[in-house]
Amino acid sequence: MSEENLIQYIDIEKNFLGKKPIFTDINLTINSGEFVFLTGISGAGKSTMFNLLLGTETPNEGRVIYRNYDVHKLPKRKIRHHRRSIGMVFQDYKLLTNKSSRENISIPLKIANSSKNDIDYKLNELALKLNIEHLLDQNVETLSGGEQQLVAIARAAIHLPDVILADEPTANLDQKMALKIFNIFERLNAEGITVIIATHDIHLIKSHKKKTVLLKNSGLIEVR
Amino acid sequence: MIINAISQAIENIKENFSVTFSGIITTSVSLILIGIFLLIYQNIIHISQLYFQKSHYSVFLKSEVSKVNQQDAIRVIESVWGVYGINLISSKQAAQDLLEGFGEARKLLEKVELTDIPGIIEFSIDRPEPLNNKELNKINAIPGVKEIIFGRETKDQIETFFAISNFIGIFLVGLLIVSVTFIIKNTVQIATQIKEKEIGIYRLLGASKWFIRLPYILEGIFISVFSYFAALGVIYFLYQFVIAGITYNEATYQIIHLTTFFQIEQLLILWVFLIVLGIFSSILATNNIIRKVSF
Repeated sequence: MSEENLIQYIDIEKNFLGKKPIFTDINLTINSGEFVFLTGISGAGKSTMFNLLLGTETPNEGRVIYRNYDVHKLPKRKIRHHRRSIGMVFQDYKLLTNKSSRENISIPLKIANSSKNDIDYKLNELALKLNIEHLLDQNVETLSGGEQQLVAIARAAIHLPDVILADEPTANLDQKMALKIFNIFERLNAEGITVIIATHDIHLIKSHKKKTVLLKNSGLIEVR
Repeated sequence: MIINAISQAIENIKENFSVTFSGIITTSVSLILIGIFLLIYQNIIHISQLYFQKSHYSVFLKSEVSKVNQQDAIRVIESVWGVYGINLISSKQAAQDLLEGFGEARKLLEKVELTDIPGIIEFSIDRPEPLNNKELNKINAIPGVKEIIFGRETKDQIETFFAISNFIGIFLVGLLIVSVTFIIKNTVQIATQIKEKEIGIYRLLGASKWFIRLPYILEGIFISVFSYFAALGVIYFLYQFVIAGITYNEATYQIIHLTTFFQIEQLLILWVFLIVLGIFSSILATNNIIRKVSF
């Protein structure tokens, strides 16, 4: 395996409770530093691809290799370290709505047992970069959808992960906010973070020349 | 991690104050019951031991006992550790005492010839434990000694009483400890269920089991420690109230002066024990939620 290869899906087959497989024989390699759109209709398995990488779901066949290890052969106590190296932006944000943006964004650092000074420093630096300082002390439930998405992205990026997975990050957002969100991902990618965006927003895909992978008919087609 | 866990625990307690408060109340009530039982038990043991220290023995002599044998018996008894107040009661005196014991009815017995009343050597001991079998056998072996009645019977009765008390005590305390464990466990479990979504997010972001557990363990410790002090306060107040409420007379004076409250060492042991119980219960409580959100 070359050092460039960050993620490899090898001969993946996945079905739920014996139903027709949503994938068969999926093979995909994503290199370190790439920006990838993962697209397909609803139910095509975009989120499942992410869950397989996170280790929250296991494939019926095949392997998911991350760096140099098989994600699904990791002992339970090591899976948490694996997840810490990934920044995840969930479709429903998965923010703690009763807490402030500051508390939400700092969760990955708290989990990694960072000191308060370190947390404050990284948080302020990132907030400045993403232009979200004004959101830090606001309660998440008072924020708009777009603002919540910004907080979710900040949480995914605060610990400088190797890769950020974003599940439909521009869904339900207006064009202006969608573009703002996309620009943030581009900036994070420019800093060396691999970014994979699952989306069915054709407009977004067409307007940006990035590697695009289409999930269709239980298989995978690399479009661009 | 610990600082984060402390602030998380404080936040949890604030957010679920009513649940935590009711947990503290129910735990306190159980601890009050345990405490009252332990205090009563401790005082019964204490007073019984003091009674033992001062216990009286009666050596009944055979009717044909010679003066020499009587003196031998007294000499042997005197040599036993802690013996004091030896008193020889002749058979004539014993018969007289017996008659007096009948009060007004003694007139009926005055014409009866009480010839077979044995002489008695009475004595007391002042030491922590009663006469042992070796010492009793030594006295019994003296020619002219019929039997030692009072001491052995009392010893057997008190030993039986202690055995039964210990059994009931261990059973009841065990039962209450189990109920305290479940009360703390359920209280913490309710708190974890309220935070299920939050715990799930932490797990997805790579939190370890102990990162999730620690705030709830601290909450369990808080419940147990707070309940401990609440229960201790109530028990102390009740103890003082009961002691103050007992009417002083010759009989109660002794009891009041013999009763004791818990010693500092005992309170420390109970305190540490409850902290351990709080930790154990919280681990039990968090096991369910961690299993549920382990993807």
